[in-house]
Amino acid sequence: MHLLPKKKKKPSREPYREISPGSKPVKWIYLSIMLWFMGRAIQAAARVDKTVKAEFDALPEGFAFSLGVFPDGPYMVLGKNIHGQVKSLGRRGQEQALDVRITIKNIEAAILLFTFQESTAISTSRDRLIVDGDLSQACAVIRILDIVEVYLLPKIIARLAVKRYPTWPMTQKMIGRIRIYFRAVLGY
Amino acid sequence: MDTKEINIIQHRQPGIVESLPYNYEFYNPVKICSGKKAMAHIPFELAAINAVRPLVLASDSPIGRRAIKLLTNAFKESEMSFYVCDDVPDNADAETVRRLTTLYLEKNHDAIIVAGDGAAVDIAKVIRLMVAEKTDDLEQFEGEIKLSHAPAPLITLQTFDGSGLEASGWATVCNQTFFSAQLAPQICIIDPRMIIPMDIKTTWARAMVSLTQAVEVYMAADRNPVAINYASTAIQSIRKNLAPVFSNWVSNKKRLALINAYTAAACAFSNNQPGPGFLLGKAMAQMGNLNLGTAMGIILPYVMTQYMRKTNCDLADLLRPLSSDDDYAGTTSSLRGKKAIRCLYDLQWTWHQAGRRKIPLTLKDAAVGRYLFPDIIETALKNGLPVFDETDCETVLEHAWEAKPLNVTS
Repeated sequence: MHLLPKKKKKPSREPYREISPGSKPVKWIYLSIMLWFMGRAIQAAARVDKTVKAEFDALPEGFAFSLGVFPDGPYMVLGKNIHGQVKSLGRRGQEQALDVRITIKNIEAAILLFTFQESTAISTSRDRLIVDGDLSQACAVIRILDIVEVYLLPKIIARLAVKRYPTWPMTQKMIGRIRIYFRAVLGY
Repeated sequence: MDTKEINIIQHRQPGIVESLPYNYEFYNPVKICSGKKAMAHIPFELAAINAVRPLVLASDSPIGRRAIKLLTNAFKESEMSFYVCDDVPDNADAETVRRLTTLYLEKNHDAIIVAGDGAAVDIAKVIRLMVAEKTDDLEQFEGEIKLSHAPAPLITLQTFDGSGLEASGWATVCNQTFFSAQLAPQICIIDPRMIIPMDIKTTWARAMVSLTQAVEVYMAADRNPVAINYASTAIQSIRKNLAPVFSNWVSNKKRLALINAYTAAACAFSNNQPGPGFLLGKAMAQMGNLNLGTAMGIILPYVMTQYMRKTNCDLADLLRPLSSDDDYAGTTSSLRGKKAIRCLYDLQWTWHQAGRRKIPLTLKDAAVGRYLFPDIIETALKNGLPVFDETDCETVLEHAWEAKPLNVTS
C-alpha cells in the first residue's frame, strides 16, 4: 500500500496521447552564457598561463574540440590555428569536423556540472559525459578546463568544480585572474 | 601461478575459485542507470539505440502518474516526443495485450518505456514477444521461448514496489508464464524520484522475493561466479538496508540501494531455473491468496535447511553476504552453511522487531491453513519443482507453519 495521501481524481483524458515536452529556456540560456564565456576564457588563458599554453602546444596543429549538451547544444567550439593560437570556432558543434567532441548527455547533467554541484571528474565518473575522439586529448581538454575554472572562480566555488585545488602563489592567481577576465570580456 | 598463490586466492575468494564450473554461460542484456536524475538519460539512451517514437505504458496509479510527470521533464530539450498509454490494468487479459500490441504496431513505435510496477512490465514484455514473433496468439507460447527476431527495446523505471521480476526475462500474463533471456529490458532506470515509500509489510515482502532469487542462485546446480557476484551484492544490500527503511524518517539512499539490490537479484535469477523456494512460495501465494514475497520470506530458511539435508550441498558461501567477512573468516568451513541459515533466522527476527512485529514469521501468522498444504504441494510439483519431492515440501511447510526448528543433520 502506498503511503501517499489520496488525491482527487482529475477529469479523464485520452488514454493514448502524444506528449511534446518542450524546452527549458532558463537553463539553456544559463548554459549558453557559461559556455560562451568559458570559450573566451580558455582563449585568453592560452595566452596568459604557461600550463594551459603547454597543454595546447602538446596538441596537434589544427586541433579542434567541442564541449556541449546533447542533442542540440549549446556548444563551445575551440581550435588551434596554423600559428598555434587558440581561437573560438563558433557555437555549432555538430556541423564541424572536430578532433574531440565532449558531449554532456542531457541538460540536467550540464546544469549539475556548470552550477558546480559536481566537478568534471565526478561528472565523468557518474557517466554524464561521453567523449568522441582521442581520450588522451580529451583528458588534456579537461585539465585545461580545470585550470581555467581555478582562474575564473573564487576558491570556495572552484574547490567544488575541480578535482584537486592547486597550490599556486597568490600573485600568480590574482594577476592571472585579472588578465584572463580582461581578455575574456574584450575577446582577444 | 604456483600452488601457494592459488591457495591465497582460494583463501580470499573460496566461493569463486573452488566452485568455478568447467563451462558456464551468463547473459545479462540489462544496462542499469542508477542515481540522481537518472531519468534524464532516457532520451540519450533512446537515441543510442536509434529509437525515436517511444511508447510509454503506465498504470493509472500514483507511481504511474508520477512517472509520466518526471518523464515529461526528462524529455525537455531532447527534441523527442513520447506517446503515453496510461490505462494499463493491473490484471491484463489477452484482449488488452492484443489491443496494446495493435496500438504499438499501428502507430509505428520503436521502443517501450514502462512507468509502473510489475504488471505493466509483464505486459510490455509480452507485447515485445508478440511483435517479434509477428503473431497475436498468446496461447502458442508457454515456458521458455526462443525468439526468432530481436524484440523491441524496453526501458523500465524501477520502483520500490513491483513483482521482483522486472529486470529478468520472466513475464506472467493471463496466468501464463513466459521466459526468454531476450525479454529482459535493455535499460533499467533507478531514479530516487521514483521512490514512493511503502508500508512495512509490503516493503519486507518485496525484499523477500529478491532475497529468495539471490539465495537460489547459490543453490542452483548450474551456478556460476558472475551470477554469484550479482546475488551476493543483492543479499548484502538487503541485509544492510532493509531494517532502516521500515522507518519513514530514513533517507532515500537506502531505498535506492534496495532497488539496486532487487535489480541485481533479478539479473542473476534470469540465468538460473527457479528453485524450490521460489516455486513453493509461488504455489503458496496462488493457493493461500498470499503476497508472493510473504510466502517466500517465511519458508526461505526452511527451504535452505531442507535443501542442505537433501543434497548434502554446503551453502557455506552464503555466510559471507548474510553475515560479514570477519564472521566468515572466524567460522570453520564445515560450519559455515549451518551458520548461514542461523544468520537468516536472526535476520528475519531483526526485521520482525524493526517492523514493529507486523511481519509474519510463520505460516500460522500469515493465516495459511494446514488444509491447503496438499494443494500447495501439488501445484508446486505441477510447476516443475526441482530437487524437492512431496515429503520435502511437507517437511518445509509443517516446520514453517509454527516455526519449528529444522536441523541440517537429519
